[in-house]
Amino acid sequence: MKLTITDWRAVAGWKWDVPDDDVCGICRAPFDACCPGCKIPGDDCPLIWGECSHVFHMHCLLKWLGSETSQQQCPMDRRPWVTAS
Amino acid sequence: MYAYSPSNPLSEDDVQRIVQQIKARTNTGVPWTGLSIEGAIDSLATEYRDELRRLCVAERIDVLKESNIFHGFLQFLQALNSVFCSYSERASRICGPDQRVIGDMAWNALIHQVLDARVLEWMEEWLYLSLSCVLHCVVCQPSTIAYLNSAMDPGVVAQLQKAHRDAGAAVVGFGDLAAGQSLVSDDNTESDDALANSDPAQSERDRLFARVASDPRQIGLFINDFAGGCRLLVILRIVSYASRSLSGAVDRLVDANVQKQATRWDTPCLDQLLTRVRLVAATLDALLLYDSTAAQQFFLGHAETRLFAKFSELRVSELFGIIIDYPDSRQAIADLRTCVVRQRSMRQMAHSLRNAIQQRLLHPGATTSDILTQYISAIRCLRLLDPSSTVLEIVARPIRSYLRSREDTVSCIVQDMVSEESELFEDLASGHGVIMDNGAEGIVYDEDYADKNWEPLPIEAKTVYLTAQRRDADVLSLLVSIYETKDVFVQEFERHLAQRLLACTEYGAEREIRQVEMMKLRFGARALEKCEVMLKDVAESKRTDQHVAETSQEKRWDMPLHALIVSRQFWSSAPREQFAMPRAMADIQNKYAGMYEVLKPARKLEWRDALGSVALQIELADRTVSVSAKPSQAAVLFALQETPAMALAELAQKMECSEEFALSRVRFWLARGIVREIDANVFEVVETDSSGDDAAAASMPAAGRGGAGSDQDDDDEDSGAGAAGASNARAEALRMHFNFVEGMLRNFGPLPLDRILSMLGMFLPGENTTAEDLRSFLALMAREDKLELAGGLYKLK
Repeated sequence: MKLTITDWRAVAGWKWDVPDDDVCGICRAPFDACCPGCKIPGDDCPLIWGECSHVFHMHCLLKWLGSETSQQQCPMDRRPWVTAS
Repeated sequence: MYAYSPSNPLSEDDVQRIVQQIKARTNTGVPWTGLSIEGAIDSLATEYRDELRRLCVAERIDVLKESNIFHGFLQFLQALNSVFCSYSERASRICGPDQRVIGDMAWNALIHQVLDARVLEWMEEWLYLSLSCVLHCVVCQPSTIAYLNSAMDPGVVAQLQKAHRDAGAAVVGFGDLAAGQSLVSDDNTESDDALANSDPAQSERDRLFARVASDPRQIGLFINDFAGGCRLLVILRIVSYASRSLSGAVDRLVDANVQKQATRWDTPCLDQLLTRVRLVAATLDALLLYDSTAAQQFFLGHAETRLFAKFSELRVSELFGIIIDYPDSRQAIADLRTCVVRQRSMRQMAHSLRNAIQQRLLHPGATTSDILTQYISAIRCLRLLDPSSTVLEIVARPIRSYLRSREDTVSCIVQDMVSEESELFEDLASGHGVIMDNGAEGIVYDEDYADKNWEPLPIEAKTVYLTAQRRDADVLSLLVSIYETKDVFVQEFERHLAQRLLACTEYGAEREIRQVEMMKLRFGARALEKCEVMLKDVAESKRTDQHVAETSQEKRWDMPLHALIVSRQFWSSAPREQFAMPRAMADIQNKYAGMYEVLKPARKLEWRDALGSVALQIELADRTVSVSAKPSQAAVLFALQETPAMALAELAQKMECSEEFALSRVRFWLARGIVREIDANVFEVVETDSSGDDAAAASMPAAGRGGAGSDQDDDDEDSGAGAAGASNARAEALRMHFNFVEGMLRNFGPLPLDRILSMLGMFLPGENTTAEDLRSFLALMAREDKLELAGGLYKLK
């Protein structure tokens, strides 16, 4: 018997490459969902990784960094925020 | 013509004496014992009656002979009249006001005696038939009206017409040929009714009517007789005595005519009925009551009242069916509305309909979609009947609470809402009125303050309304307001949308996009954000797939996989299947995922293997088959590709899944004849179709032939002969359940096919064995001498 797959309609779910069921430390929403200001997850609401290894929704972090109290620190460990490249 | 010779006459002296006594008593005020006067009246009356009896016998009038009913009753009246003649002859001979009193009393006593129950019945029958015949003639021959007019005293007619005009009544039939024309219109249906009637007396009557109506001369004679009879009733002073049976006859006529309109919902009936009944009643008024001025519209008023009461009774009792037939029954609704408005019987109608609905609709036997359809029709009908929606509110309440108790209501409504030919879809597409999220109270509409036809709410409304706005809501809003919140509908719609998007293969979702847009208009954009994400996922997947296709072309990879990549948080989670993908399939997935990860950095794919479908081309030793299967089913075949024959346990181990899981996937291939069971729970790929298991092949000559046939034209063997082979293969697949069947037959004795089928379904849930498969399997067992079929029952040998 010889089997050939001629056509395969598959379904997959995408997820950010972060530990399962992790939530954004700022908005507490799952990373795979979007930040409170967005409606469409994924490209429109990306994540941002800091060198301190913490991850946030980019919009959440930018909003945080924009506020005066942030002093440009990572909200989790209070070290200066440096975006991982 | 009747010579009168009293057998025992009351002498004039007697009469004189009685009169003297009356005078004396009246003058002196002595208490009225009345013995002698009553005696005198009695003897006069007896004398009249004897005379009448004599005449009746002489003329051989059979009081209740039905066939002779027109003529017989007339003869009876004429006999009565000749007695009356002798009475008036004597009265005029004695000639004095006092004597008249005695004579009148005696006459009244006679009438009282003569008009017993039987004669009254006879009279009612006569009048009923005569009126029916008049009506029949008028319907068939408009010229009948001319006869009617000539039979009536012109003065009386004019007087009556004036009275009707004064009363503001509509144009009354008689003397109005235009009305006659309108009566003729449905002559055909009338005669159809007559033919359809199986009652012999009824059909004889109809034949008689038809004979009369066919010939204008006959009509003339008949009308003449009828008018003569009526005149005699007046002359003989019977009318006031017999008013009950006279109006009884009119009632019967009305009832019979109303009954004929039962289930005729597609034509307007009321106006025609009214014209007819008015014609008959006015005729009767003119013929019977021309000597009294006070009651000149007695029959007309009576008949109209009766007509409206009966007609609305009929239509109200039919309302359930009328609603089912809507919109074909629009005319019936218009008629009913006229009646109900006149009768002020909104409330009774509402309650009667509510009872009918509770009895006939709200029971477990009715499917939810039936109930919904009926509810939607009811909304539309009752809106026509009662623009204030009060009736609807009364009727809808039990339907709504019942629908709430059904589990599949929401999904039924959503299905209906998005299927493009439904009425709900039109409501959805019209997109007017946003449903707010606080249930019934929340439907917001602009009140039309400029509406000239505005009417205050009926008194019933007070107790019934939740909000005044509700009555203006459209059907969709009403359905949605069954539930406290619209969320259930949005969730159901999400489920529905996910299902459709997962099922569509080419990333095409134009229809779904339109649906979501319309839902947004109705339910608000916020509620449908999830659906937006789902649509966006489809579009995004299409782009990704194009990119993957281009990349694999560059790398000269074969890429049969096309993925729909969903955002996990926004799609309802699908059931998971635990099994290991065979390497061949996993490779494809990994390649695809790899390309995806390059395209979208920092993201990963998780395959949902319970979904999707795999199109396989299976090249066997003697044939090539194309099958579309689920990924897990395909996985089984890939496992068997590596090891052509293996036990179930081994297979399960290889696929890293439970044996049940593997078995149900193997069955898929057993049923298609790709795999067979060579030993208990040992499976093998069927490389060549007709060889191998000799016993099975020998016992299935048909299968052998079918297989051989399909072998010869092996290129296109998908359908046709292949199907016959497949059915046998499915029967073969059932072989493993023979133990169940055997046990069943041992414990319960001989059983019919459907019992075996239902019990198999009980033992093996999830097994979709059809009756056809089971029958061929049991036939196979019978051929193998394990069973025997006798009288529709299978039993063990």
